[in-house]
Amino acid sequence: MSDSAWRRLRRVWRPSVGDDVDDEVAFHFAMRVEQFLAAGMTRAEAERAARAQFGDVDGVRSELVSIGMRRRRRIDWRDRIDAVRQDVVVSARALRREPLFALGVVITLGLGIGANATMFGVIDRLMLRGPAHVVNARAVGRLYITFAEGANPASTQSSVGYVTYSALRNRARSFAAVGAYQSASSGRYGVGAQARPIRQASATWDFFTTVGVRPVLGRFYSRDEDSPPRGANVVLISEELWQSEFGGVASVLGKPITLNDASYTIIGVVPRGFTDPELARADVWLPMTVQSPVADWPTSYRAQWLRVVTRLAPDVSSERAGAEATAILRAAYTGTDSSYGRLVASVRPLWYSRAGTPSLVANVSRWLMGVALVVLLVTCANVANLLIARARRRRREIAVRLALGAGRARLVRLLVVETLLVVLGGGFAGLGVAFAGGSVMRATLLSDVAWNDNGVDARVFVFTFALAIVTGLVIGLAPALVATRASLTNALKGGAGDGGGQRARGRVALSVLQASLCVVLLIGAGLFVESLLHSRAVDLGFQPNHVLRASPRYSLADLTGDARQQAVRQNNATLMSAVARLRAMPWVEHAALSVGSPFGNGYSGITLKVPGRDSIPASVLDNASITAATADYFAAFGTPLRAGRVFTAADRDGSAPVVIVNETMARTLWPGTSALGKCIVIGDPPATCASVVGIVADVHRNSLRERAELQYYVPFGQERGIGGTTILLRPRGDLEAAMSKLRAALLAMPAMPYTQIELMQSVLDPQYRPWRLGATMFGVFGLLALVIAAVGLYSVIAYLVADRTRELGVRIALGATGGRIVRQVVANGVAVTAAGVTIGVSVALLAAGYIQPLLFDMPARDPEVILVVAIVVLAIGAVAAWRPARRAAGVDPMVALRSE
Amino acid sequence: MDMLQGTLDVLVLRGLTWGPKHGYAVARWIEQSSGGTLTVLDGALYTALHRMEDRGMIGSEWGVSGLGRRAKFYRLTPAGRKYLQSETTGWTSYVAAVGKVLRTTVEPA
Repeated sequence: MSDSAWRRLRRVWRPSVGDDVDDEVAFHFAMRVEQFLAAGMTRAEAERAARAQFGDVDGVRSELVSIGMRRRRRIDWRDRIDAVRQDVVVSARALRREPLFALGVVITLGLGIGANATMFGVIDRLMLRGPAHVVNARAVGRLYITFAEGANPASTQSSVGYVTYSALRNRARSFAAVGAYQSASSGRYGVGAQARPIRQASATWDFFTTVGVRPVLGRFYSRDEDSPPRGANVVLISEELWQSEFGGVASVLGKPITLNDASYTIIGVVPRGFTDPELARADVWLPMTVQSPVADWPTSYRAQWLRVVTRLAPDVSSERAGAEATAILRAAYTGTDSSYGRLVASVRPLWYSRAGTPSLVANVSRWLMGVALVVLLVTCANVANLLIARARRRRREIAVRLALGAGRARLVRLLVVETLLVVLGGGFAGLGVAFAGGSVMRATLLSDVAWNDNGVDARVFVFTFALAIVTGLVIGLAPALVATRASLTNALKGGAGDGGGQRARGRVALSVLQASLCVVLLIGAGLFVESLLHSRAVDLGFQPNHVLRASPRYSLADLTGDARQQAVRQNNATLMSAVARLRAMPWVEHAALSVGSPFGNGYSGITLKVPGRDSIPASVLDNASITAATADYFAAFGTPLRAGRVFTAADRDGSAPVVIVNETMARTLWPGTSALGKCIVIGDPPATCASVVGIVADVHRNSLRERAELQYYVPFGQERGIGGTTILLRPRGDLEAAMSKLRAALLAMPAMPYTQIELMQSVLDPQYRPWRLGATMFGVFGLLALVIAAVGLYSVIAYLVADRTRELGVRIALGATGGRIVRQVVANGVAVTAAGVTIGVSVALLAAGYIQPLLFDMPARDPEVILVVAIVVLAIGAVAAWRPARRAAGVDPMVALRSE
Repeated sequence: MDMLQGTLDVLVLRGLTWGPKHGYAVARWIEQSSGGTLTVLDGALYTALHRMEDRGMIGSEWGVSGLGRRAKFYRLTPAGRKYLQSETTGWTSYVAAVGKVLRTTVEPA
């Protein structure tokens, strides 16, 4: 093909800007030359004159080309936008004609997408983004130390001493920053009767720079203000406290506030919603060094009360940082405990639990994210079903359009845009679901996490619509391709044999998929519900559901030695008489005092000697936990007595030393014989023999799942070296009323310090959270999926019945009874469901290993759960097929046969 | 006589008021109607045409010239016509004002 011919051909399709310009200029030159020739010039003169008359030919040409290019680009864009707008208008019109279809899709998708948006919001905060105001959370981690003890299994902990923190921050090169914090605990704000509880956290001066938070006002404390031996009395307040207490004025800086009877100067405001790495909120932040747990805390390994956060230096892996920290901490230890020489330090994500494992709630949430995606799949299957059905209804229309010359590509685009429109509607509905669901979920199931949002923020928004669009493309493309594949003649002819059977196979497959996904979800739900029941059924060794615990906080900060002892004794005497008065009240069933209580203060480490039992290793005895208790303690807590007696009023300070042990301790120390009457020497000399007078049940002290440990009780007053008295009360009648009566009674006492009163049950509630979260959300998602799938199955069966109207008519004409037809159609539905159940159960069995760690004392392949779910889903399948079956039985053979 | 940029635009638009013309015809029209007084480089003329097309004051179409050659024809758009009107009015009153001043023979008091 010659050059010019090729150019001409190309111009037919789309002339290039350069060619256009060249053609125009060439024409102009030709005309000029002719003009000059006519005026009598020679050809050479004429051409020269034409060029002179034109000016800078190349310059002008490139100017014209660039103008043309600009113009063409602009037109192209306008055309494209016009096309899209037109598609949207046409699609919207089509949807308005079928409002029920549009509404169904929007609601279904809204639920599916909303489930995902809700879970994404939770995961995003719990795991992805880290606590609010943490900058570049990926680089921030927590430090864990694993002790590989010979006989005992290795234990990992995150609490360390100040000495560990300072060794790391001074020597480690792998970290850009190192800081430490102590989670918020209850403190006392104000003085006298105006005093009220406040959440007070401590942090080292570099904690804030490590996580990256910046003050809203003022500054954070400096290194000088937070150094051993004692830091400055400065305090940071939360933005919330600043607003509520100080009216949000800048002059708050420099003001003094009273915390725990000491005066602190406000120097800065921490931004709203800032929490510690464990997502606990604090009203005030104190320098780590103003509170000292033990005298030699800067160098001691005995006091381990703070947790270290780290920010990795650029390009340092957490493995390398962990290895360096290991070396540093091993070298830094100078004591005699050989386990420090073998410790292993590691840096793990911020959202890991205190024990160094992904927190159970985060883990369950991660599963729920997967579950939400499965729900979305079920939803998609349904919507795809609806779209296919609709595409089938519209095949004639589409065939006509194809016949009239509409491009297949354009039709596909139109159908995809239509789907995208409803899917975007679904996205908005999903946002609504996420907003409502997220709020409810955060308030009820995850209430201990400091959420700063209501479930929908910019990230959730983006996630939702990205998900909606992907969903739309996936479910919109398939039906669009199916619809436009319509062979023109068949569609226009209408009637049977138009490939309906093939599409029905696709729809049946979708129903099988839905059923199997439902089965998986429901089995998950069943497992979590069972786990929740199991966890509820755990015998804690006490009955927490009707117990109040009050913890008066006496200020002993300035007292030492004998003066301190004296004060403690005096306070305890006051509390004793208070409890005696309380016990006389008609609304009180039992009232007791104790030092140490389950899920509260715990004490161990007191030297025990058991005469005649020297073979028991000291490490076992040292770990035994001690509680000092008055006579009514066991009755108040509901801890059953197994043998012997409980304490009486005669067992007190100065009386003959007695002790009550738990069953495990009795069994461990005196296997085979009764522990009653045996002797335990509690504490260092001159302690004497304490006689075992009773044996009580084992009590869970820290969690639902814990190994039985040695526990013993001494009469209140006989304890040495432990302090912090709590009041335990088992009221008669209403718990809430009793709570306020108790508060009033305590406030009425002279010189009563601030007292925190809590329900034991609410102290325990967080323990059940993972399973409650799992059971609720798996259950909600599972039922959601089941309803959606049932609707889907119904529509598929109804479609199959409609498709086979003629066949059914023939069979009825040949004498098939209605009952038989119903049975057959229902059997069809059950068969589809059964296929799904088989697949679903197989998947559940295969996945069992993964979910096992999340369950509470039960096998992930629990046959009961699987059986119940299988039966329920099959039953739902039969029910969904019932209505179409009735319709099938009612087919009039004459009408059916004539219909074509 | 050289011309200001805006002036060329107005002359081109004026040249198109009798109907579509190709670039060469516009050039010839300017030469002839000014009696050869105004000379415009053809390159400048085409640049003006393309710029005004870009700004929507004129449209274009490929057609066949009187001599049977393929040529690009320009025509006025409504926007161009409006622009031409306002420019013409402005120009006329400007010229009238200047002329009036130049014709004044009496020294003002």
